Amino acid sequence: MPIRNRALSLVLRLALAGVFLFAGIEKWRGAHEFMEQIANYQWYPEFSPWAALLLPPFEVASALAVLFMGRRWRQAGAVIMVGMLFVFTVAMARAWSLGINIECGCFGKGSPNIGPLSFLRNGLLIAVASAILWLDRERPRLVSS
Amino acid sequence: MSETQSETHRPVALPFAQIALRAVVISVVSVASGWYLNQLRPHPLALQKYAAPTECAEASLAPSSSVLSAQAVSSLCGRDDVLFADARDEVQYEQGHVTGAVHLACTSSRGDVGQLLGQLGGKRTLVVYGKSTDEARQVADGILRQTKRRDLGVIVLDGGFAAWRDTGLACSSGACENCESSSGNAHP
Repeated sequence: MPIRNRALSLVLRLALAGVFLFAGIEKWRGAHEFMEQIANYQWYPEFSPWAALLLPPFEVASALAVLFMGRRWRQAGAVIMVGMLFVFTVAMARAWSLGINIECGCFGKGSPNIGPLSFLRNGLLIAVASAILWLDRERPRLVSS
Repeated sequence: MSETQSETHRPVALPFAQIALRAVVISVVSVASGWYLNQLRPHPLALQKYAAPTECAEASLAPSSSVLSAQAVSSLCGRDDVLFADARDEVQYEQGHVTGAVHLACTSSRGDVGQLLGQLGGKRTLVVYGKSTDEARQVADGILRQTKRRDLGVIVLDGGFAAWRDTGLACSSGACENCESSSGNAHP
């Protein structure tokens, strides 16, 4: 990978992993509040304790993989991040379309309410994770025939 | 020997299987660590079916009368925006009352709650208690009918003063100071 791409990949990984680490730790610290925030989405609220239990470690683990591990692990971490962000965005879009005015819960307690900025942020994070996947992709190799 | 060589770009092979395998490993580690660390919490998340809370301190600030248990009401103690009011008679008040409570029967003589509402000042929540829940509820409903303050939340202590005392919450005894100043009007 060219030096320039390598540097860009590192910057993006630091930024994305930083956001996910912060979000995961804050959610874990305020797990009970986070559970309420998830339940407020009114989308299968009976599973909110499970989501509050599992989402923070998923975020932290994928962030650590993106930050510290080899290429395949980074890609796996980025794929998990894209998947989580996709689900978060769908949940927010559903709540927004139903007129449910709630905190998004993106960073645990004190998160901003769902609004255009929430979607913009998630779109940006998906773009960053996709860029990491792209920069870490398998290089085309010249083969002789 | 001549050998014709042509160089072509091999299509990018996306290692889905390898990435998926690692994603599964990350997922398993996440689930296991989340489960284990939750057990180490002082108050672990309960994973049984979620039930939305039906009582909370913030909800008690709503501008309507509601009945709360002594335990729930105790969370309002010491707050600057909360006033406790005793709806029992003066003798019972002197024998024992919630610490900091005013004697409502004295300050609301002839059914006029004007003096009490004056005492409320900037307080947003009034906790009324009596000998029983029903007695306090009647007083609370009367106050709500007479006040024009829409931001005032009135709470009735479930079980009356006995419930508060039996729960072991803060009680005081002694003469009613407000009663002395208004006793001429309240208790002729």
